[in-house]
Amino acid sequence: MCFALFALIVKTSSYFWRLLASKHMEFKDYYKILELAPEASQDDIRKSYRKLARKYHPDVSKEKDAEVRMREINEANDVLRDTEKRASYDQLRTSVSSGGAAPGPGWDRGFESSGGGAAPNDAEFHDFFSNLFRQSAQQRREQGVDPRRSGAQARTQPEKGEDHHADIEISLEDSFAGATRELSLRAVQLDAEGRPQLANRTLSVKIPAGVRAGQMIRLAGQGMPGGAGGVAGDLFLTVHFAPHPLYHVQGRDLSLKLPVAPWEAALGGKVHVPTLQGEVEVSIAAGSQPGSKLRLKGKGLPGDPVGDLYVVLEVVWPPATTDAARAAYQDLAKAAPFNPRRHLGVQG
Amino acid sequence: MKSVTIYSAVVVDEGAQLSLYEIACLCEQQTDWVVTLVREGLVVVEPHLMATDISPEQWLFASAAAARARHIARVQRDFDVNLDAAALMVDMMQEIRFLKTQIQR
Repeated sequence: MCFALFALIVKTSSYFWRLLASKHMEFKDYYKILELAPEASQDDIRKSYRKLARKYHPDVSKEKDAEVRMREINEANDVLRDTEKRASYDQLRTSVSSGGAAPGPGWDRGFESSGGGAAPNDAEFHDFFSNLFRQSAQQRREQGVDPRRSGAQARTQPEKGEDHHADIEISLEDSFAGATRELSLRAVQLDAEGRPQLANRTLSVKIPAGVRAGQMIRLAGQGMPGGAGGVAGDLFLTVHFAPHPLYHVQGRDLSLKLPVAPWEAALGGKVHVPTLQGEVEVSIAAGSQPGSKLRLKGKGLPGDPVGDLYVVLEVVWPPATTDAARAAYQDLAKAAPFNPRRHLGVQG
Repeated sequence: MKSVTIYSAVVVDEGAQLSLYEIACLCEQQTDWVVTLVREGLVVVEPHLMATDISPEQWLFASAAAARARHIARVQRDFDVNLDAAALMVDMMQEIRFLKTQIQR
């Protein structure tokens, strides 16, 4: 499993131009993404952004590619809504449209150039671009706008590095027993010359047993390095459960749909039920109906209190595909006549 | 043999709650924004720290509060709406998600 973490970097847009040139990255038309003409006004941009956000925001959209589209829309909006960034982007766009994929000569005058390299994939680049332009908390701190302070104060003493956040998907079994998982994180780090570079790192993380979906776990010291000798920030991971083929999760409780034969429901008996701790035998009361719920105390996820497993009975009827099965159904109809539609007021 | 460092993760809700500053950083907001969320009742502080004589710098937040604050921040930014509208949207989205989950059960 691979989880991407994009560090927020703290350089000016000049780095973007340099990276774009050096990496031969794919040019994206932000006007097209926002369904706008290049001469669009700020008001047009705002209106179009709002319209598209309503359509593609992953929280409300039914579109399959909503997340990707929303990322592009946000990225385009971030650039085009900012006059300075828009002017730089327009300059690049003009160069691209007149000269192909690479910006025109002289576009990077005054900026340091760097060597070539393998182009990262599209998603990687565009998150990178977005983060490059975004004024991170660290950048704000460096500019004297520390989230801890409302006013502007210069940084004069060691400070803890920026905290980072990523999502992690684990299985129910991982939560139940705890597990060690490898995370691939992609972050921007400064090289020996102080230039930002994308760097991959892999962390082996011990997932605590009993962690629930939606909870955050903290990895101390795995965020950004501290400033002026301060300690590194922390990495926060929000836990998500991968869909499980058997169990549905609510908090620490699990539920399981348990198919039973009609005679097991009618006559009662013992059936075997899978749990995260292994198979257990459960007694079904005679006369159980579909939808009957049994609680297996303590068979949910660990914690304080430990979760329970709810077993919901589903009666499954064997098909009448043989003479013997048909005869058995006919015998049942004679032996236990009843009208399942009586409450509807009909005779049969 | 290649050695591997295994990092232990701590569940935020089990003694490693987030501070006001940490939650502000994760939301890419100022601490004042988080204080407003709390004062407006949109996000809750750990109950034992809500006494009036406890300063916001001493507040601690659970996972659910952090997730909600991040969601409100994202919606406020993405839809360009005020705090009240963002909080309402987040409530409705959570309700929809809960109902969808109930249907799937």
